Amino acid sequence: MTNSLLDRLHRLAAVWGPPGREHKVAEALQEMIKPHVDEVRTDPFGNLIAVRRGRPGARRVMLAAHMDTVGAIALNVSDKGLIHLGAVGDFKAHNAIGQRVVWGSGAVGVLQHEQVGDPKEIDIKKLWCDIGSSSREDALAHVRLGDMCTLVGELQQMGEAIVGPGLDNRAGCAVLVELAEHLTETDHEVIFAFTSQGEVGPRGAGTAAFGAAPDMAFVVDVAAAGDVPGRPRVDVKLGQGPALKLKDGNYIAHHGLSELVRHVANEHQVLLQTEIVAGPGGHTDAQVVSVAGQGVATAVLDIPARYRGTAGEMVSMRDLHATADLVIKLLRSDLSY
Amino acid sequence: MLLERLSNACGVSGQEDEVRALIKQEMAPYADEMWSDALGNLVVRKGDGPVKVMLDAHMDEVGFCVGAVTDEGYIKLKKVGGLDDRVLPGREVWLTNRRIPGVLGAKAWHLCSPEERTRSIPFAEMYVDLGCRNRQEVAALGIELGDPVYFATEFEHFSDRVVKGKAFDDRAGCAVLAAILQQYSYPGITLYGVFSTQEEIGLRGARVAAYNLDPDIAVALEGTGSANAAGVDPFDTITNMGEGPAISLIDASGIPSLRLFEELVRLAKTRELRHQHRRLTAGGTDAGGIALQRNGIPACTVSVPCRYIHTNAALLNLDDLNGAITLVHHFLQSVEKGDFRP
Repeated sequence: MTNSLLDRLHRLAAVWGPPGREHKVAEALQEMIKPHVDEVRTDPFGNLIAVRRGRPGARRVMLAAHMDTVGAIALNVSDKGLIHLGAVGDFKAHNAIGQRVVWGSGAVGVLQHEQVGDPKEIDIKKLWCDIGSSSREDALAHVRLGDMCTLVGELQQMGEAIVGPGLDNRAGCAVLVELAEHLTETDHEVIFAFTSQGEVGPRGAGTAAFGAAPDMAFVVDVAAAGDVPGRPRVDVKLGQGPALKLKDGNYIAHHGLSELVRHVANEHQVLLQTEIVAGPGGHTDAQVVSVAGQGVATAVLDIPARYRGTAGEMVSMRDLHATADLVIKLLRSDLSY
Repeated sequence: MLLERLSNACGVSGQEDEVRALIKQEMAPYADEMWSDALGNLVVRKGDGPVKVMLDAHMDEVGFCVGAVTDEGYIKLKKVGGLDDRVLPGREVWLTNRRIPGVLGAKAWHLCSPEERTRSIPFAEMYVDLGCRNRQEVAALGIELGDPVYFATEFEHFSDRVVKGKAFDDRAGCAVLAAILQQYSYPGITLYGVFSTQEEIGLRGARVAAYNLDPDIAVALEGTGSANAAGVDPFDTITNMGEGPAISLIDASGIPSLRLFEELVRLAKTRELRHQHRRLTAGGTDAGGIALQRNGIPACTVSVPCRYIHTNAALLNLDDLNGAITLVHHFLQSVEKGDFRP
């Protein structure tokens, strides 16, 4: 297997890693990024931190991408051996019906829901996971209470588009590894933070930023595109480059850093879109990174995605390459704003 | 018993002084060092070994504060923490830590329309009746805006195992922590027993304590919900009172550190300690706030199941409380011996 961005995305998307249980993702990423950095470690929260040293006097830049995907946790097991679930992150029952999952123990299962007349009655409390057990004892021998499952499936390519589960945010992780490899020249110290519990909270990015105390941070995440029915207020499209997020309900972009991103994208003719989440919603690592320690100037570059949280999340390889390209161009600039 | 004195003590979030004074007095003979910080957390240090362990139990309880006094001499309340409107009307309350008696009044049943009789009474329509006839009589009692209001509940034994009281969330955790500090010593570790403030309104005290103490690991000790009572689906009981201390699987504020969780389960199984899991994704504990401090602090929660939590009268089983003391004691021994390394 080559080390292309696409190959890495395939490998990373296949790794089990729900919130707080990202150690296998961290292992895979550590192996991938090690040749391109000076130092790799995990911190007490479970973040993977990789540092590429810079020249004295240059900037210290944190690049963050969360490692976890949404999942479900085993809360109860019935006498029939069926596992009943709770959501971990924004795991929606209607996205999960009929889907295959894998548990931390390695057990595989299929999710199914009670028959309901009205789709509004779909609820995670009526969803269960069947791992082929016929008794509570047998099921608990394979999946203990507290274990978590995530959706599984093959990634498939449709032209520039890639479809499969777990692209939020293994796409961001793959982009960070890609740019670590191609970042041949930069004066700045670069701290790659692959963060824990981005889908709940977010949490780990805050402790990572506290530990790194960088001068500035770029968060690479995946955001819902608006080029599908029912999302008229979102202007982000697949294949048009990363989206610079100016605000969501929990974060406002650093003005100077945003202007710098726009300037560098414009100068190098890299595709860039603008994303604004009106109202109270929206979560990225930036909301905790920007307020960590003494505060960190933070910008978010979101990879547009359709059908987030399903087994058929869709991103464009064009956007992944453009995101890596833009961050490399930024790191080759003097990063003054 | 200490749980009785803790339950009868009064302290809503931000007004924990009476509880803190009681604990301070109880802990004084056992502490190597003891201090309060700017948020009012009481820290009891015991031992000075190389591994720093924080055990947290919050002192504050859910209750109310005086929001307004009417011309007619009634008190309108603000809630402090999460309370279920349906269980409030008719309750006896104490105003201020001087325990001035009052009753939570609402419009009488025979005056209600058929529609009003089928709904739960909105909190905005409730008031405290102190027997005063006007604003001046309330003022004469020395009651001021912001004063704390408590459920007027005295601790009692229902049986030799089951006790009733208010504020078991989290005086049960305080009792577990106090017992550990009183009964045991772990010279190999630095144990910080933190009796924290303002948990019920955002895990506030524990965050500050964890930031300042910077422990290697932390365990939050809690009183948690339990619903193994009439008519509840066995999957929805959260925990089962009488079936041992509960090791949390997850909650809304945090996912337990996998290594801490696994060590607690391992100890419970190998030492044959009765235990169970807390099976609810909602709710939060100090462990979630502690975990986010500085570079991150591995944390988890051990709870005593309490029926009717966040009401005037909760129940708990003393075997569960003693089981929590034993489980946490085994864990601290494991850390001290180096069987578990943070």
